Parts: sequence; C-alpha cells; structure tokens
Amino acid sequence: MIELQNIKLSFGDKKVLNDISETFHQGEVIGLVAPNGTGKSTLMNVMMNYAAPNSGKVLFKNGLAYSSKANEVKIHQLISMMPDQSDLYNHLSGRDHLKIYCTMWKSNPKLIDTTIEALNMGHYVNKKAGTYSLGMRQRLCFAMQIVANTEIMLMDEVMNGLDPINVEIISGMLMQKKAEGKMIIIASHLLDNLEKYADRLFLFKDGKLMDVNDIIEGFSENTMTTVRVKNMSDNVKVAFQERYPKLAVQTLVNDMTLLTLDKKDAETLGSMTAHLAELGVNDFTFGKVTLNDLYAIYYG
Amino acid sequence: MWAYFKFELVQFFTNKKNIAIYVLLLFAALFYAIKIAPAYDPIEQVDADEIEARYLTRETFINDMAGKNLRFAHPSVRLALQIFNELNPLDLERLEALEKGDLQKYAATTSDWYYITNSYTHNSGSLFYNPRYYAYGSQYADDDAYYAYLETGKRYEEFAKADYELSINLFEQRTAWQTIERLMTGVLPIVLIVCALLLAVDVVTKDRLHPTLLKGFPIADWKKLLVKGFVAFVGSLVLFVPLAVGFLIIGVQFGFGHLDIPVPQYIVDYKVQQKQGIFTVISLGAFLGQCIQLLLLWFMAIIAIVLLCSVVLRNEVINLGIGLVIIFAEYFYFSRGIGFLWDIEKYPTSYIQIGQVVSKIRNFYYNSDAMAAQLGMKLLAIYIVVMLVITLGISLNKRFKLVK
Repeated sequence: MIELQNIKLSFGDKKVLNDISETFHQGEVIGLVAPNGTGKSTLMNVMMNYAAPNSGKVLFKNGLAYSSKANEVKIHQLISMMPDQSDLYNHLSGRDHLKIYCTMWKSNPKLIDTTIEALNMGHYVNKKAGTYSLGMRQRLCFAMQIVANTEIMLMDEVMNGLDPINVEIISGMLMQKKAEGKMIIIASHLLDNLEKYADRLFLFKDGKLMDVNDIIEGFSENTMTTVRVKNMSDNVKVAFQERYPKLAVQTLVNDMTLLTLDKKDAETLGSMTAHLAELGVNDFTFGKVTLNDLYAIYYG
Repeated sequence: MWAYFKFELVQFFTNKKNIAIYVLLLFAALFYAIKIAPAYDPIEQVDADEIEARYLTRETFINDMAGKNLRFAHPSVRLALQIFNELNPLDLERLEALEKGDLQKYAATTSDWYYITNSYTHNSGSLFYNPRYYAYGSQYADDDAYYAYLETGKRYEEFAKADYELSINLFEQRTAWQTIERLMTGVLPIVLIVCALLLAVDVVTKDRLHPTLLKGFPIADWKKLLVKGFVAFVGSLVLFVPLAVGFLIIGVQFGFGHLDIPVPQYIVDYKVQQKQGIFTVISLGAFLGQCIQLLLLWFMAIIAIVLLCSVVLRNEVINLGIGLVIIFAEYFYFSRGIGFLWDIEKYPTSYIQIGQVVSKIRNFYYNSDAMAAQLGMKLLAIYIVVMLVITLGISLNKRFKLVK
C-alpha cells in the first residue's frame, strides 16, 4: 500500500506536485498519464524518496514513512523503480545485471532464468549490455525489476522502444505480477495499451493527480456514450448542435470530433446516427471515450 | 551487504582506470627489476680494486716516509701517516678476506674501517668522505655521509655476527628483500599511496553514471560508503601483486635474502647515543612489518579523505587534488633540522616517507626526538576515525543522497 498525503513539490515557481493525496493498493495496476514534464516521474521520485517533497508524506504498509535513513532502507525493500536503460553497465552482461538485482533484493535466483525465458532474452542475455539495441536494453531493465520482485514496482515509460510483440509480452507479465498481488505504477504514453490493463488511470494537470473517472463519469465502465466522427466539417457541427443543443461536441487535435451523451441512451444514439447520415456523414463509430480521446481533450 | 560488496568489487576490478593502474605498476615493476635494479650502483660497495688502489697508494706513502725525520714535516703529513698506518692494515685484511672468500671477516674488518674512517673525517674540516656524496646541490653532503658511514659500519658489524650465509649481494643490499627495504626508504611508499588514491578517487562518484540503477538499492548509504572504502582498500592491497612480480625477478637475479638481515635504526636519544653509538638494529622483517603497518594506515587515510570529499564535494578531480595535497604536504614544510623548532611530529603528513620514518633517518633529517612510527600510526588512526565519523555522520542525515 502507498498512501500519498498532501504531497507538494515546487521547482522554483513551478508547482510540479500540488497537494496530491491518493492511496494505491496491492494487486492494482495504476496508470499515470500526462505530457512530458508534467510531474509523473517526479511523483515516482517522491515515492522512492529520490526527491523530497516540500510538504506532505508518503506512507507505506505498517505506517512506514521516509522519516529516517533506516526506514528508507526498509521501504526500498518493498519498492523498486525500473532503471533507465542509459544507466546500464555496458561492460556487464544482461545476466550480470539480473544477478545484481536478484542478490541486492535477496529474491529467488530461479527468477532470473524464468524471466529470461518469459521475455525471450535468452539469445542476448549473456552478451555485454553495450551491444544491445534500444528494445533489448528496455527489456533488460524491465527484467531487472521483475527479478527484484518487490511488492511495489514503479515503471516509467516501460514500453519505450519495444516492438508490438514485446509490448504484448510485457503487458502479459504485468498482468501476471498483478495477479501475484504486486502493486504496479506505470507512467506510459502507449495509452491504448495502458488502458487495457490499468485498474485505475490518473491524469496530471497543474500538479494535480486526476482520476479519469472523476473527469468523465463512468470512464472505466464499458458504456457506449460517444459517437466519434472523423474530419467533421464546421457546417455539419453547427447543424448537428442546432438539432442536439444539450449534446457535448468536442473536436480533438487529431480532427476527431466526439459527440458525447452524458449517459447511456440508445434512443438518442439511434437518432444521432440517423441525423449524421442525413447530413452526409458516414465515417463514424460508436463507443466510449478512450484514453487517447481523453488525453487529447485534456491536454490538446 | 555481502551482495553489495561483491557488486562493488566487480565494479572496482572491471574499471578500466583501475586496470590501467595495475598494468602500469606491473610495467614499472618489470622495468625496475630488469633494467634499474641490476644497474644499482651504491656508494658503499664491495670494490676490491678500489681498496687495492687505495691500499697501494697509501702503502707507497708509508714506505716513502719510513725512516724519515718527521719533526719538521707538515702536520698533515704526520696525520696522514697516522691514519694510513691505522687503516692500511684493515684494507689489507679486507683484501685478503675477499680473496679467501671469508666474508664474515671482511664484514668485521669493514665495520672497523668505516668507524675509524668516520672518526677521522667527521667534522675534520680537511678530510672528506667518499666523493660521491658531494654531488652538485647536496648541501648536507657531510651530514649524509656521516650518517651513511656509521650506518654501513653498523650493518657490517651485524653481518660479522651473522649465522647465515653472507654474500656480496647481501653487503651491497641487492637481494630482493633488501631492494624492498631500499625502495621503502625511497619513493615506493609515495608511489603506492598515489596509486591507492588513483584507485579510490572515483569509488563513490562513479555511481552518478548509473543513478537509476543504483540509488534504489535497499542498503543504507553509510553501509555503502563503508563497503566502498573497504573495496578500495582491498584494491589497494592488490597493488602488491605487480610488485611481487618484480620482487621475484630480482630474487632470481640476486637472491632473495631473508627477513633476519639487520637494518640499522637511528637512535634519537642523545644520552643513549653516548653509550651505544647512533645506531641500533632491527631485523628486516620488523622493519618491513612497521613499514607495511604505516603504509596500510596511509591507504586507509587516503581512502577516508576520498570518501569524505566524495560526499561533500562530489567531484573526483577535487578528490584527486585534495589527496595529492595531503600526500605531498610534507614537501611544503620539510626543511633539515626544522623539527628542533616545530612540532612536525604532530602532523600525520610528516609520516609519508614511511621507510625513512621506520629507519628513523627522518628524525636525523628533521632533528626531531619525538617523531616515531608508533606515533605516526596513532595520528593516522585518529585521522582515519575522525574522517570516517564525519563522513558517516553526513551520510546518516535524512536529506543526504549518496547518488543524486
């Protein structure tokens, strides 16, 4: 468990974390979504005590907090953060890196081979890390954290540089870790992927952590409340809004226009589609607001 | 902690800079053993030709003067005859002993020769020691020669009592163990301490190249620092491995000698000097034992200052600069006889010339009664403890980050 209590952190005049209070539980996958430089990594750094907040505190199980160096060591036995691939030792092999993390966290050495196999790293893991491609390094960093096997895992941009197959493999492993009761907090820009396995998603804005369900009610539920129209012209928008004045019409930066109902209403949806057809618009889909849409709405 | 130690140890011994230091030291040891050691040309050497030439010249003079009335001769002629009549029988005995291979007798006679020669030469104003002491710029040549003659006399006095096999190499201090003794009174300790500094200089700061990989390790910063210090110390001990290669090569060429060989030690107490002369002897084993103790304490002292600088200043170039200032600090205040005026024995930096401190020639140079290897060890130990306490105190601060 991690409980963030009124975390505030500023760099100069910029409030990066502004009174963040939230609790995350074991067995949860938490997704953090925001543009670069908005505070995702900083929040993770605060959770790891790499950055000290100006006020507020981070609590772990049994009330553990970063109140002393001794507590920091105890907490770091519970929590780990995925290393950055640029920080790997180029003269050491992937297996050496895995051994380091395994021995430092005193985890089961069998995890090394099972992780290598699960992540399909067998063909390169004994070579020096300096010879690895971006994706190979990224998989190694992920594997290191899996081998550390801490109760809480923080992963910043875990899918960076991975091909779709490896994205799927890692997604599968994340689900497996979640099933084992691990808490995984992920910052990612692969929003479709994140949406698939995250239990809770948070957006950052003005230093605040916003639960997507608080931004759009029922976001996590699979209810069809949205019609998504590609390249909707201004004339059609005006005509549509005249007919449905209470309907939310929002055009995103990717030229996707969302026509959103405030609740599930099959009758209105039917009439909307009929009207769109009358207006000569045939390229549209039904569904819910996706994380990509929400991202575009929120940060566009 | 064991896991972290293994991790740091691997980092240390795969560090290219550290490997380069070991390799360079190995090359230096090989070069010394193969080129420099065989060319060693001591001032006080066993040279039958020189003894014979001197003997014959003096004998001719003695014979020329025989039967002459010296009443009106110049006083220096009478003095020369007195000295030559005393020394020539000794030189003859030395030559005969060398010819017969009776090195024990050679040692006994040579010891007398040095003592008598010194008694005539010291503070005479007109007589001189071996001319090789009077090199250009050698301001204290007379003092150095006086020390060397009595030291050599003492060495031969002990060789005369030896119950082990003697050799010319042993007399000229060419054996492997004696080469170590000579090097210990020379540049070797400083070379090793500088190497220890170079090995340790980035032991903490190197982590900044891998911050996200390292800073989450579940181990306290003070433990990390202690482990890093210990690893640097272990790495410093490995410096002896390249030296051992040179030692073996010298041993094969000139014999190894042994640890019972006498090493003269200057007596600092004037009253004891009156009774015993200015030298006592310790075994080479005891000499090297004290040297090693001081050297290891110096390794620890340098590592301790590197750890402190690393947590405060976080820059290996600054670590290197401060370490070098400490190692070479003595050069800023060293001056012959200054110990009579200043309490130089209270500065840990005065104990950097390890072999000279143990043989106490440093006391002779400084004109200090109080300087002693044991005092140096205590001072260095206190310094190390103070440095470590400050370093660990800083690392226990809640806001301190070892890796930023």
